[in-house]
Amino acid sequence: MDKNTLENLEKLRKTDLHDPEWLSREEQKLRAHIKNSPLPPSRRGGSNVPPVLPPLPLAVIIAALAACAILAGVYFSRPTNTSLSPEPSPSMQLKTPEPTPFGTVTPTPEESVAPSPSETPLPSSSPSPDATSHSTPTPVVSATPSLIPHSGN
Amino acid sequence: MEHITEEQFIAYYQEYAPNIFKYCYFRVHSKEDAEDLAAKVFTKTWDYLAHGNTIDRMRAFLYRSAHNAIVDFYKTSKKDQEVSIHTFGEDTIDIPDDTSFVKDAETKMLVQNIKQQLHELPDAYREIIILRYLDELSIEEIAKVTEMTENNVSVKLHRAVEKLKSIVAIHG
Repeated sequence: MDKNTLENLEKLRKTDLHDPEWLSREEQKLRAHIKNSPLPPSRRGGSNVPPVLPPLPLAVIIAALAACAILAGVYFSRPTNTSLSPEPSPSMQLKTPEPTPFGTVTPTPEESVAPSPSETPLPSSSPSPDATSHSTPTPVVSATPSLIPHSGN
Repeated sequence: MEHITEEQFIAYYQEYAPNIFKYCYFRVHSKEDAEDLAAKVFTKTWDYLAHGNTIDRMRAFLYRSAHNAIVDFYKTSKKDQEVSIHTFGEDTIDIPDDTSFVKDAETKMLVQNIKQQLHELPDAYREIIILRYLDELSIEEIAKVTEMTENNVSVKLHRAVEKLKSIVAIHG
C-alpha cells in the first residue's frame, strides 16, 4: 500500500470524527435503556448471587415421581358409574311376573312353548269307510256310574 | 465467561462508540446514518445481554453487530452505496460529501482523501481495509466480524491492498 495512504489511515485512526455531544446524548439514552431492561439475576456480575432454588436430592425426585405414578394408577383404576354401559338386550331381560287381578302369574315353560292352534292337526271323529279288518272297534264306555256292588259288604 | 455489569457496559460504550461510529461512517458515508447505526449497535448488544446471553469478546461482538446493522441498512435504504469494479473509470462517481461536521480543515481533507480512495473499492474490500488499518482489528477478529475463515480474510486483505495501491497510483 502506498506510504501516503498508510500514513493517512494511521492519522485517521488516531483522530476522533464523532460529535462529543452526540456521544454524551446517546450515553444518557443507553443508561435509560439499561434501566428499562435489567440483566437477569443469574447474569449480574460482581457478586456471588445464590441460585433461587436449592438443588433437590435425587432420592426426593424419585420418591415424588413414584407417588405421582401410584396416585395416577389408583385414580384411573376406579370403577366408574357411568351411563355409557349399554342397555341389556331384550333376550337377556328376566321375565318379570305379570300382574293380574288374582295375583302375579309367572309364565310356565309349557305355556311358553305351547304350540299354536294352527299347528296341531285335529283327530278325525269317525273311521273312514275304507278301514280294514284289523281295525278294532272302539269300546264304548258308559258314562253312568257302575251298579256293581262292592264285595266288601 | 465474563459477567458484565451495567457500569462495565457503559465503559465499553465510552471506549468503542467513537470507533464504531467511524467504522459505520466510512461504510455508509452519512454522519446521521452512522450515528443511528452506532447507537443501535449498543442497544441491541445490551438487549442480547439482557436475554441472559454472554459475550466472550465484546470488541469483536460490537463490530459484528455493526456489520449486520450496515447490511440491514443497505437492504432497506434506497441509496446505492456499492461501486462495482467494472464501473471504475467508466462513469463519474458521485461521492456524498458529508464532511461538513469535521471542524478541522486538515482532518476534513484527510477524510475526503480516504473516502475517495475507499469508495472506489468493492464493499467487501473496503470493509476489510477499514477493520484492519483504521480500527486495528486482528485477522482473527476480522474473521469473526465478517464470518469468514482467517485464511480467507488474509487473502482478501492482500487483494484489497493491491487494489487500493492501483487506485492510489492512478489518482496520484
